[in-house]
Amino acid sequence: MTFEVFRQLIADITQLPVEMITEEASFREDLAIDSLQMVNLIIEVSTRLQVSFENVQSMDQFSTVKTMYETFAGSVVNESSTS
Amino acid sequence: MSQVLADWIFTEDANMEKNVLSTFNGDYSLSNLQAGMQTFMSMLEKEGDLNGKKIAILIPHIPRFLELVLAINKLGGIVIPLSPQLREGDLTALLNLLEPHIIFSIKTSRDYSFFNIISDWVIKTNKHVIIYSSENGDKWNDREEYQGNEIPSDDTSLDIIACSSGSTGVPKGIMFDTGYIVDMHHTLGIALKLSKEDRIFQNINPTVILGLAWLFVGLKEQCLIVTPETFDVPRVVQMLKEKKPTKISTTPTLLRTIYLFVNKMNAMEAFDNLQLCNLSGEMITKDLLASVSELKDCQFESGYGTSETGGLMYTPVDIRERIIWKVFDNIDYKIIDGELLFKVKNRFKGYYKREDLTKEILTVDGWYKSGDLATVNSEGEIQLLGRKKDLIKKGGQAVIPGEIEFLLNEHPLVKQTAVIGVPELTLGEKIVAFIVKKEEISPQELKFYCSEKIAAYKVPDEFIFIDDIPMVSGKTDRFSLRNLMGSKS
Repeated sequence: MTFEVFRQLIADITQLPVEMITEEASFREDLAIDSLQMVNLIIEVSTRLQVSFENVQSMDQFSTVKTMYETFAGSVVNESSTS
Repeated sequence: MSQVLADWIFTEDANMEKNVLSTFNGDYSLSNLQAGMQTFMSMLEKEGDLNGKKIAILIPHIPRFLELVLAINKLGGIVIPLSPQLREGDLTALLNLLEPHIIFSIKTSRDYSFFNIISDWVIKTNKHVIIYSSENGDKWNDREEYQGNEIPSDDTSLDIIACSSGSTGVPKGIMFDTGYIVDMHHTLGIALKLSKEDRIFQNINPTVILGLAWLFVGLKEQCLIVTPETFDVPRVVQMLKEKKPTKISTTPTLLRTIYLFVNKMNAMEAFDNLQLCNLSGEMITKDLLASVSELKDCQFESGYGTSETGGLMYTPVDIRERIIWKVFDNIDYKIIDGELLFKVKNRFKGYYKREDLTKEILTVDGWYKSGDLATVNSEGEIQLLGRKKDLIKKGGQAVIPGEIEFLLNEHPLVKQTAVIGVPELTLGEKIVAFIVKKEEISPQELKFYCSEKIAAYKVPDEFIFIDDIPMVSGKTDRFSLRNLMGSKS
C-alpha cells in the first residue's frame, strides 16, 4: 500500500480534506481528533485493511499519519504494492 | 473522629508483601506503599500541624499519589486531589475556591506546565503557600515557599475535598470524611463479591472520589488492583494480557474499546479468567452488550450512584437478561411522588462553601434527591423509569420519555430514539420523538405502531428523523435536542 492510498483512506474515514493528511500531521494537534475518535479511527483503518496489530506497544505508534502508516503498512505493504 | 486510612489498611494481620497494586509504574505491595507514605510524612512533618490544612495534589503517578493521600490523612490534613486533565481556566477556578495551604504538583505533564499555572496563581493572589514540585512524579525534592497573606485553617473533621466541574461547568468541591471510603468497602464488596484472590482491572480516575475509594478498598481487601495511569489502549491490553483480571470495572465505552483492541491485537487470552464486568457511568445499550457477546462466561452487572453519594444500587441479575436494581443493605431509600430518595449519612458532607448547592440535592433531614423516577415491587426490586426533569407534562398528564423510547427502540426498523417534551400552547407540552432509522420508515407507520401499544396521550405528536442522537457523557443530550426544536420554530 502506498502512502498516497493510505492518505486517501484516512481522508475518507475522517471526512477531512486529503490535503490536511500530510505525513507529519499529528492526529491530536493538527487534525483535532480526540482520544475516542482516535480509537474508532484505528479500528476502522485496521478493519478496512484487514490487518491486526498485535505488535503495537503504545498509542504513540499512532500519533502522526506517518507513524500510523508505518505501523499498518508493515503488514500490508507487500501484497498491496503488487496488485 | 473518622477513620485514619493508614490504620485501617496497614493492620497487624495484613499481608504486607503481597502485590496489591499494579500500574504503568510497576507493582506495589502494602509494605512498598507504607514506606512511600513514611517518606512523605517525614517531609510534611516539617510543615507543622496539618490539622485543618488543605493540601492539593496533582500527580499522575498512582502509587505516589496514594502514598501522599495516606500521609496527609495520617497527619490530619485535608486532601484535595486535582486531575491532570484540568487546564488553566478550571484549575485556577478550583484554586480560587479551595485555597490550598500546600500544593504538590507535577511540573509538566504531556507538555502542559502545571507548575507555571499554579505558581502564577499563588503570586497573583498573594497568599502564603508552599509548593512541592516534581519532574516525573516520583521524586519530590523541590520545595518553594511563597510569602503572602495567611490562608485560614478549615474544618478539622473534613478529610477529602474532591473536585467536580459539574454539569453547569462551575467547579465544585465535594466534602467527605474517610467514612465514605469505609462505607464503599462494604458496598463494592457486595456488588463485586470481592475476595483476596481477585485481580481487578479498574480505570476510574483516582482524583474522582469513586476512583480513590476503589483504590483504597482494593488495598483494604488485599486483592490486586490493576489500574493504568493513562488510557493508552495498546498498553492497557498488554497489561491485561499479563495480569488476566478476574473482574473489570469500567464504563461501557471503555470496555468496548478495550474489547475491540484485544481482538485486533489477537490477545483474547487477556479475558481467560474474567468472571465479572461491572459497567457504570453511562447508559448501557443493546449494541454495547451485543459487541461483547463473546464474553459468555462472564457476568455483566451495573452500578448506580454519584460522586456525592457513592454506590447506592446494584443489579442482582445479569443485565443481559434484564435490568433491575437493588439498594445496598446499608442505605435507606424511599419513593416520594415517583422520585427515588436515598439517605446517605456516612457519605456526602456537602459542597465546599456552597450551602446553596448542597440544599438543592439534600433535604434538611439528609435525604439525597436522585432526580430519578422509579417504581419498586414487593421483592424490593427497583425499576428506573427516567429523569424527573425530563418528565413531559402534556395536557395535565405525565409522560415518561423512557417508556416511549423503550417502545420505539423495540421497532425493527428503528436504530435509536430520544423523546422530549416541547412547549406547546394548547397542551402545555407536546411529545417529540427523534428517530435514527435502520431502514426506511414513515412517521405514519411509527404513529400507528405506538397507538396500538400505548395510551393515545402518550403517542408522540411529532416524529423527526435525524442521523445521530446527540450524546453528552454517554447520555442523550436533551438540551441540544430542545435547542434543535427551538431553532426549527
